[in-house]
Amino acid sequence: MEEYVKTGSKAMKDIFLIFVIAFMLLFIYHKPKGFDTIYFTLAFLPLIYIVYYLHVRLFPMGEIQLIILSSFLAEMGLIMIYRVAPDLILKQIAWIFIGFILYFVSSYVSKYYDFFYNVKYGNYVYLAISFILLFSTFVLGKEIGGSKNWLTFGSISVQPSEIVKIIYIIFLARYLKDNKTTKDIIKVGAITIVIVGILVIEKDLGTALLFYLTTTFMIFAATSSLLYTTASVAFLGFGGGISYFLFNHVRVRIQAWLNPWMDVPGKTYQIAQSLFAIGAGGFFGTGLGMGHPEYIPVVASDFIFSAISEEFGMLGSVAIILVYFVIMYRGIKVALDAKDDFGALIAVGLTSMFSLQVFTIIGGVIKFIPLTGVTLPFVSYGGSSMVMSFITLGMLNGIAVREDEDVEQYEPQH
Amino acid sequence: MLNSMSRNIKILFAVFSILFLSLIAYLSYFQLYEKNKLITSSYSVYNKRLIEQEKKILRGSIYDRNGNVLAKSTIVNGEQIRQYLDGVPFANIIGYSRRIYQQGSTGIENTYDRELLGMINTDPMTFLRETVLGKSQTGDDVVLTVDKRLQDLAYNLLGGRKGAVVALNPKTGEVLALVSSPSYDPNTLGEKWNSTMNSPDHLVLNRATQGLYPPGSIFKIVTASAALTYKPDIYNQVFNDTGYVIVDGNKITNYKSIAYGTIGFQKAFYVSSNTSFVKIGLQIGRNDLESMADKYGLNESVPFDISVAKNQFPSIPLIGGKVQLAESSIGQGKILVTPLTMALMASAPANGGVIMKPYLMDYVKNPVTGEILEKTTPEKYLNPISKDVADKIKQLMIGVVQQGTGTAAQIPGITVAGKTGTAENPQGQAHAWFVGFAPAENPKIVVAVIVENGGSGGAVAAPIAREIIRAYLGY
Amino acid sequence: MYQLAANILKYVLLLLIYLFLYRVFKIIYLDIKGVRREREVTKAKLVSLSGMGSFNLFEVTTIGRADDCDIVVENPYVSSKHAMIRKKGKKFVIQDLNSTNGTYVNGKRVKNIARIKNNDVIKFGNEEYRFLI
Repeated sequence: MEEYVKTGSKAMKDIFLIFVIAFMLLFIYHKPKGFDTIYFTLAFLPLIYIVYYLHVRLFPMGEIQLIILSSFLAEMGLIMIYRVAPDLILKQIAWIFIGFILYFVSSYVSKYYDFFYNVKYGNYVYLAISFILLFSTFVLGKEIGGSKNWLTFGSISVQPSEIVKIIYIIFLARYLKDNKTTKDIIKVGAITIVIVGILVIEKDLGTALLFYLTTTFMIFAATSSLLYTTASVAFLGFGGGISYFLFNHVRVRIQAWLNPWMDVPGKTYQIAQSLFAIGAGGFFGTGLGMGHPEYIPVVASDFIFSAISEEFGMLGSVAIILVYFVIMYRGIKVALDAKDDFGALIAVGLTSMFSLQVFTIIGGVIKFIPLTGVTLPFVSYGGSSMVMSFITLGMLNGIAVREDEDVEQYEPQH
Repeated sequence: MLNSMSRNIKILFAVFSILFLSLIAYLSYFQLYEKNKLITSSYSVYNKRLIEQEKKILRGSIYDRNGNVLAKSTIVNGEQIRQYLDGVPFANIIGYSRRIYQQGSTGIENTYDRELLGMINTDPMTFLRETVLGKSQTGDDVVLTVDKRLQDLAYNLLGGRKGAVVALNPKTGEVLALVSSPSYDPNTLGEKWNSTMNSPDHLVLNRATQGLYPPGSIFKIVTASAALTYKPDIYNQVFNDTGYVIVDGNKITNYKSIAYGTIGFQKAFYVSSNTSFVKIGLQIGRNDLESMADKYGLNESVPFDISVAKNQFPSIPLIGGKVQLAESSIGQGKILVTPLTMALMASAPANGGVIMKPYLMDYVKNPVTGEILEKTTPEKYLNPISKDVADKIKQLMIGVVQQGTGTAAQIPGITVAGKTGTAENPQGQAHAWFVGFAPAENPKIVVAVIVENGGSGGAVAAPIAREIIRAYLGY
Repeated sequence: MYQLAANILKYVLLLLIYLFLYRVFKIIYLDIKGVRREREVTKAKLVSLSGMGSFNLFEVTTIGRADDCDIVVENPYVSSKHAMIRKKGKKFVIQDLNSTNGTYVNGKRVKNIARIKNNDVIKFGNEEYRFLI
C-alpha cells in the first residue's frame, strides 16, 4: 500500500518536473505578456497538488489514477496550447480549474447513483432533456468549424451535445438494466438512430458516430447478444454508405481520407498539413519550439495531437495514447467492480464514449480513419470538452466509491 | 452483477485495447514507410517545413572536374542567391531548382537536390554537431565529370546553331562535355521565364539528351556490327555501286548520287555507300538487325543522371517491311536516337565492344570536411559486339577519317577514327552528324556531334569534333 | 542557444514522460499484485465485544457492511465501506473511510488515520472490537 501511494506521488512529481522544464523553455520562446500570465500558468502546479491530496483524503478507495492521468493530459495540453496560441492559455487554465471542481461535484453526486435510477419516469425525463438540448442547436445553434452544434452566450460557446452524451448514457443504463427484450432493443435502436440523424444533419459526424457505437457497446454489455451487435455494425455500414451518397460533407471527408493529396491547397489541406507535421516529428520529435506546428490548421483543438507528434515525436504521441489506454482500463475496472448492473452499465457507457472519442480524433488526424470534428479530451483547447471529460471521470470515480444512501446516522453516547 | 455482463465488459476491454494498439501500429507504419513520400513526392511542394528547412541551408556548389565553380550560392541581404558562372554553355546540364522557380526543376540541380541540400547521411558526428548546435548548415558540393574547357569550346563551335555535342571517356563512361545549342542564361531565367520557356528555338530543351533525330549514316556502325557478328562473310563481299538501288519500287541513292563502282565492304564503309549498305541490310535480315539495334540500346532510354529520351527503333514488319529494312540499314526510316546514344554507340568499337554506363556526377563532397559522400564508379552498360568485331569496326572507322568521308577530322600526329552521317529529315536540310574517337590505338575520348539541318556531316560536323579532340588531347 | 537547450531538453522531457508512464503502469501492477499481497494473514486480530466472534487481520483489512469487505458487519449504523486496518511495518494503523458514524479508538474519534496498539478498543458506529496482536 505504501509503495502504491509513494508511486502515485512520484508520478505527480514527474508531472511537476515536466511542466516546469517545458515552461522554462516556452517562456523563453514566447515571452509572456504580463506577470499575470506567469502566475496563472504556474498556478496549475499548486492546483493539481491540492486536487491530488484532496482526492486521497476524500476518496481513499477512489480512483486516484484518474486524477494523475488527467493532470498529465491537461499539462500536455497546456504546454502545446501555449506553444501554438499563447493567448488561449489563461482560458484553458480556467476551464481546467472549473473541470476539477466539477470532478469532485460529479463524484459526490455519482456516489449516490441510485438517485439517477430512482427518478420517477426517469426514462422519459432523460429523453426529454436530451431532445430539448439537441433540438436547441438545431433551432438556435451556430455553426462553428463545420458543424452546427454550438450555442453561444456572449464570448462563451458551449456544445449541448456534450451534456446529452452523459444524460443519454444514464438513460440507456437505466433502460437496458430492466428491458432487454428484442422489442425493447429495437425501440432503443430507433431512438438512437433519431439522435444520430440529428447530429449527422448538423454535420457533427464524430459525435454521431460516438453515440451510435456507445449505444451498441452498452447493448452488448447488457444483452451479451452477438446478433444485436452484428446487426448494429451492419446497419452502420449501410447507413454510412447511404450518407456517402446523400450528404456532400460525408463524401468529402471520405475522399479526403482515401487520398489526402488530391487537393492539398483546398479540400484536403487539414489532413495533409497534419501528416506533414507528424512526418516531420520522426521518432524523437523536433523539440519544443523547434518544429512548425503553426502550419497546421485548427491546431489548438482538433489537431493538437499532430502538433504533439511533431514536437515530441512518435515517442511522445504514443505515450499519450498509452495514458488514454490506462484511463480506459480504469474505467473498465470500475465497471467490473461495480455493485450492480446499473452502475456497471453507466461505467461501460462512459468508458466507451470516452475511449471512442479518443480513438476517433487520433485516428482521424493520423489518417487511420476519416477525419471528424471531435476533440482530444483534456488536451484540446475548449471548455465544453474539458468540463465534460472531467465530469465523465468524476462519475467513474463516484461509481467506484459508491455509498449506500441509507446508513443511519448514529448519535454518539457522550 | 451478472457473470455474463462481467464477461462482456472484459470483451469490450479487449476491443478497446485493439483499437488503441492499432493506432500505435499505424503510427509506427507511417513513420517507417509513408514518411519518405512526404519529402520526395510531388506534393512535397506543399510541405512548408521543407521549404523552411532548405532556406536555412546554404545550397552546395557544383564544380567541373578541374575544380572550376559552375554554380554557387551566396547570402545577399539575408537571402540566398544562386549564381551560375559560365551559365550559358552549362544551362542544360545544370538546370535549375524548384527552390528558386516553383514551376519545377531540371538537370543536376534536380537530380542531386538532396545532396546539394546536405540531406544525405553525413558522418554522424558532424550531423550531431550541426543539429545540436543549430548551426545553419551548408549543403554538399557536387563535382561533375565535365571539363569546362571542352564544354565552352563545343558550345562556341556550334556557334548558336541548333545542335548538340557529347564527349565522353569510353573506358569509364565519364561525360566530358554535354552541350545543347542554343542555350539560355540561367542567371536571368527568372526575369525572362516566359520568353525562355516558350522560345521557338526550344532553348530549354537539352538536345543532347532529349533531342530525337534520325541517325543517318552513322548508324552504319550498327549495321556493320550486325553484319560482322551474324554474317561474317560479308566482310569479304564485293558490291557493285551504281549510285542507287531500288527496293520494292523505292529508289534509295547515295549522297549526291555518286556511284562508286565495284567496291569492297571496307570501301563501302569508308565512303558511306548507301547502295551497298542497303544490300548488306537486306542480307542481314530484320531479325538480326533489330537484335543488334537492341544490343546497342536503341530501344530504350539510357540510364543517366538527367533524364534522357527513349530511343526508337520500331519493329520491322514481317510482310512488306523490305523498304523499312533497307532504310533502317542506312539509319533512315523510322529510327530516332539521341546524340548521347550515338556517343555511346561509337564507344563500343573504341572500348573493345563494351559500352560503359555514362555519368555526369563524379563525386559529392562535404565542403567543410572534404569527406566524400558519394562517388560514381564506372559500370558496364552494354556489350553489343565481341572484341574481335569491335576491332574490325575500329579499323573501318580509321579508314573513314584517313580516306573516306571523314577526312576533315584528321589531326596530324594522332590517329582519329570516326563515321560521318548526313541524315535526311522531312523538315528541311539534312542533319550533319559525326561520331569519332582518338587516339585509335588507345581511345581516350569519344565525341558525337550533330548540327541540325547542317548539311554534310563530313563538312560541318567533323571539324567540330576534330577541334574538341584536339583540345582534349593537347594537339 | 535556445536550439541547444530545446534539443537537449527534448530528450529529457521524453525521458520524464516515459518515467511517468512507467510509474503509472507500476501502479496498475501494484494494484493487481497488491490485491494478492493484501490477502496475507497477520498475527493480529479483532475480537468482537458483542460476541460476534474474532477475526484474523490481513495485511490490509476492510471493515464494513458491504459483502466484499473482509470483515462484514451487519449493522445499520455501519457504512458499507467503513474503515480499513493496514499493517505498516511492524505496527498497525486504522483509517476511517469517511464513514457516516465515524471510527473510534478508545473513545476518541479517528480523523483520518490513527495508530492502534495491542488491547485498544475500536468502535465502528456502535460496534466495538478489541485489537489484539
